[in-house]
Amino acid sequence: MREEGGGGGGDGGQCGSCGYYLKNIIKFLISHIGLVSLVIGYTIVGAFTFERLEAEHEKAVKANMSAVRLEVTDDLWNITKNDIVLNETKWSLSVRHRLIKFEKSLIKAIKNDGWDGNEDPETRQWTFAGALFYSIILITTIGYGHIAPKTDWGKVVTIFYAIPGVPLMMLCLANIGDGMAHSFRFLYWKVCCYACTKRPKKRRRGRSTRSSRRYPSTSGGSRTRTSSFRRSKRASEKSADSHLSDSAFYTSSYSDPDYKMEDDMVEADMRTLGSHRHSEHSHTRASQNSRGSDYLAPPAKEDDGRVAVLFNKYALEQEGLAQEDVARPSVRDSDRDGDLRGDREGREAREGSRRSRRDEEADLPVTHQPRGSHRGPPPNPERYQRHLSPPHDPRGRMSRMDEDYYYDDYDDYDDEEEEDDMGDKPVPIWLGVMLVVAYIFGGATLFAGWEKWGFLDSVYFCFITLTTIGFGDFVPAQKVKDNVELSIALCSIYLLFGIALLAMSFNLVQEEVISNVKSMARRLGILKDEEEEEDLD
Amino acid sequence: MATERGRGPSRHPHPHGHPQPHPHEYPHHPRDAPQPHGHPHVYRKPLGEKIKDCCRSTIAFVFSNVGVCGLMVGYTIMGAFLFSHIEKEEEEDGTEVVIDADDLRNKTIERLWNVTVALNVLDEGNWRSNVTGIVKYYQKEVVDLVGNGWTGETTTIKSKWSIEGGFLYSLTVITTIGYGHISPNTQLGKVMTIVYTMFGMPVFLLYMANMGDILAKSLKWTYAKICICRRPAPRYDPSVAWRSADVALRAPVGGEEVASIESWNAEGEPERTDVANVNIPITVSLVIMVALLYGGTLLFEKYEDWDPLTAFYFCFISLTTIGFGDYVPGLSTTAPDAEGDEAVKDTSFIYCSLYLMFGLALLSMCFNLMQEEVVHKITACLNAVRFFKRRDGD
Repeated sequence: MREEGGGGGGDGGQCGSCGYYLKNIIKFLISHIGLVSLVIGYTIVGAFTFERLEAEHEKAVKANMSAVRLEVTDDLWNITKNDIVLNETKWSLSVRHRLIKFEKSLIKAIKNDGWDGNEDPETRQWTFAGALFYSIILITTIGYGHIAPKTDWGKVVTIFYAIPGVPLMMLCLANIGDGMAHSFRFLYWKVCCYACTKRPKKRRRGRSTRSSRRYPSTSGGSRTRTSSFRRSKRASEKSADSHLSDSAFYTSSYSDPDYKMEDDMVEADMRTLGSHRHSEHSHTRASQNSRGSDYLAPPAKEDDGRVAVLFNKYALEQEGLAQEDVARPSVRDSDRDGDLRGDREGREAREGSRRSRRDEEADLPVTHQPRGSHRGPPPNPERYQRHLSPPHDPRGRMSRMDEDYYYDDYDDYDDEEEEDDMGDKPVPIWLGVMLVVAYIFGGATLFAGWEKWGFLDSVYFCFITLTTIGFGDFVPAQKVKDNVELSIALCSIYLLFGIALLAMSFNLVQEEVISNVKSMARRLGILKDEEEEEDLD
Repeated sequence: MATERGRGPSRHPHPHGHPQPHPHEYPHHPRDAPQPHGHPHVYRKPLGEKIKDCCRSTIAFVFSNVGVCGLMVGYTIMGAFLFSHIEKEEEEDGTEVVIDADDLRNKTIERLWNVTVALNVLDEGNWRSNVTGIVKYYQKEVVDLVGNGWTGETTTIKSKWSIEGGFLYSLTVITTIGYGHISPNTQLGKVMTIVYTMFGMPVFLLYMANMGDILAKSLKWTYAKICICRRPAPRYDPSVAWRSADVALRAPVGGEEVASIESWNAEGEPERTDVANVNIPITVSLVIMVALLYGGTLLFEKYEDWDPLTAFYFCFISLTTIGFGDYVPGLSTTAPDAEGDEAVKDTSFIYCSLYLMFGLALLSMCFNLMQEEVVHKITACLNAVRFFKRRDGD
């Protein structure tokens, strides 16, 4: 495919890149879908199990309540029958007593036995849909409590079901959130780029000098190199976006015959950037080393003549990278992983996220196997860090790169920011927050309509659900008698997607937030102060 | 803690000539920010500088371990007062429900009486059919009342939104457990819950991270001591060498531990690897978790008169922050007797809150340790693989 892309023919290149793009989309979908279907399967299994365990008990309770009510009638009759002379006061007292006893048994049934107040054995809470909803609510740790297991076996199974279920769900949602963050970043770039393509051509002239200037500077930054190297080594989420951008580069780069020398550099940049993109959210160091050895031998034969020229240029860097690979990665990884991972799932920094992180690392061989063999397309350029944007067309590319170059100078990003793939323009915090707020308000409008709650109540419900607090004072699909399954399905989708969206926005803004907090802490002197405090101990 | 103690003297072998890093250089390496070795302090500072330092140290203290604990508790107490104040006015609802129940009962009795009296000849069948209808209606009404929050009291009860109730509520909100046994009824209460949660969750996460860190260090130190006691005189241990080589490859957790080992060596303890590099095996973490759950089971069994399974189930559901709310300490699930005993026990919230706070911190520590151990194992494997691969390659 790469050969076709480099072949210099527009049509052949497009066909090849289309196929390539498709292949990677399928791979991406399969890995994500695999996890999602695992979770779905798990909840369905749970639904069956809980229904089996609890439905019988519920039916028994309902039958019992009917019996209790008949008993009350009997007792009342006995009270009435026994008095030869019916004295109202005395009779009332006995009846009152009996009624209070009846109330108590009603309340006990509702609180202890999970009775829903309805004696009809057909309208159960523990239907399949109800049990499915229960499973979902359980493993997302929302835990409304509107239905809860009342049998002993139900409770035991709940415990053992939740132990693997909660990390699994967290992992799946974090995965989806990551994928969404990827796509969102890509979209954001495209939008920004489009805004930037209006820039005039005059920047082009100075471009080549700047780009050449840039390369030494980035190669001088060993830290960036190693980090990029490390990142490119890590098996990452292979989002289709990056390959989309790759193919876009191939097609666009060959549509403009104007650029010769510059084009080469630009292409290399594009490829590195593209590959960079899909090494962005890496999750493991596991595959890092294995792939490192794979890529030490540059398969230059895959590339066309133009690219081979570039490789000569970067040969030095390549060696440098190869050496640094061995010494640095683990330290950096643990540092960076610790930092990022710790904060990425900052929201769920409680057990759930740690479990999911652990599981992520443990699960990695599974999820990344299929990808390892397909790292073909940009093997070497992968290792070179360039913080470049993926512009549409060369003109935009150039101006974009210049702009980013300046941008990096102007903004006081530390090395961590520079190492981001899309790092030149991280998604602003307000955008992430707005996404979440918009989702909550959107959901609130929907629920206010469906469930006939007030708008504030709906907002409150959405917030309580998405933060997984889950009081249970408002639960959807409880009053609706028809289309219960539909309501439950829609609600489940809303909350699952919502939690994934939360994960995504945390993903998007975490680095910004971290750097802001750190700079603020520095200003307050906290970070510096810790040193002094330690001195004084 | 000994780690703290050991930090002082041995950490500064540098003379005063050691250059102080320029403050502006500092920001470039935020990752390396908490350096284990510090720069020497200047002994004479102007007054303004001292005040600034004082302020800084206060702020740093707030964000340090004790400070975060205090912050969390303070925030919860503030929430307790806030919510109980907001929701107490609405407490009339609670009384109203009791009054409604009373009304209902009286009305039902009246209707029953009327039916009884209306029939001149007491025909069982007739009477029964009428009474059945009345009783059915009565049942439905009672169920509705329970849905509105009635818990069966015949006399007005102590409000749920006392300070204690508010405290437990605030705690369940910021830990995202969310029992739901009480929830805000007023609009203002709902809005305040949202705002309170938005600021409370980071506070709680900070608390968990901090406490988890402290507990992990303590455990490692204890474990190291136990290991030292059990081990014989120092000997060359290849695994020890392996581990020290490993230190270079992975960032130790809590760099201060390095210094503590040095100080112990100065005091004559046998030389060994860094405490920071002590790896608590996964089984130990698992045992601690199970012990935590079991301890909670015993506690709640005793105080709440629950059966063991229910207590264990409650502990599990609470610590995983699922929080159904079907069982909540301090809320008796059976209707109170006609004597009108209290529905909410006063002091139950204390041990429940303590258990939750400590339990969640301990759980966070366990997961930290397990994760470290897993990562360490994987890294060790990879190192071994790489090592052998390179040897093959040579």
